[in-house]
Amino acid sequence: MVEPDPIDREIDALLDVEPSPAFLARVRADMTAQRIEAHAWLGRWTAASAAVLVVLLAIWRGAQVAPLAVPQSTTPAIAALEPSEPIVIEPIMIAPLATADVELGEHQ
Amino acid sequence: MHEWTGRLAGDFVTTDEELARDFDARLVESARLAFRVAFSVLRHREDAEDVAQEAFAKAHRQFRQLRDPERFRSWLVRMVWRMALDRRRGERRRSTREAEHERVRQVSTSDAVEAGERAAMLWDAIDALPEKLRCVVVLASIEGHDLAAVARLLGIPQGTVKSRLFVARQRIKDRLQWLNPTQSIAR
Repeated sequence: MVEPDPIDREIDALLDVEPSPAFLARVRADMTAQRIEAHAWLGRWTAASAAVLVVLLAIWRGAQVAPLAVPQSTTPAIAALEPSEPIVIEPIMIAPLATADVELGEHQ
Repeated sequence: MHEWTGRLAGDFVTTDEELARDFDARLVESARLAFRVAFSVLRHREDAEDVAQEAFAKAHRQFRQLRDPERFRSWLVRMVWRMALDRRRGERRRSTREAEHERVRQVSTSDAVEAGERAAMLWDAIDALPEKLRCVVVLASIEGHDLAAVARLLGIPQGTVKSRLFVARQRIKDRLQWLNPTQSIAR
């Protein structure tokens, strides 16, 4: 205790007041409401985060699937352009020059 | 995976419940202190309860940082004091010390009238103190706080509390003497 002083007794008496019996109950109700509100917020945030996650996942999945679809559709077109049988290049026959001289000599 | 999520959810609920339990314990042990600190400033029961309730609501929101009992009480006292002063400043025009006037009005015998007047004068003397001194006087008169307890609540050295208390008492006595020179201080 603080050293007793006559004035202290009077001040003690002035401050000797009690809150109403309903005070604690009111504060507790306030706290409960605050907790419920906090949980509701948490629920809303969780739902919103889950929704965002689903959308992001869908976008990501779409990006993953799209490149696979392209080769499937273009393969037949490319295949159609390619020849079904291998092209055989035949050798070109060139006549020898000597033969031409012989022919000229014969005319002379 | 399922077990892990279950354990995590369980931990979350347990922590939440523990926090709620701890807060309730602090509420029970500090409700009177908060109310009396607010009453010392506002001199009005309903207003004091409102301010104390608001302070507890704030404390509840920050309770993860205020779980230590000593820290909680210290924070609460300062918060209630500040909120009560703000409220009094805001409502100064509305009423002038309803409680003390009511107390004086309610008494019927001459002794009681005298007691009421004395109380009004004492409040007047306390009100006239600078805030630093007033806070020390009020806290020292609530729940039998000793110097160390007041020092802890206000976060100041014990020696400072002692000197402020001495000066405050002296000023209150002087003021009472000035208000009513015929009445003795200690009755």
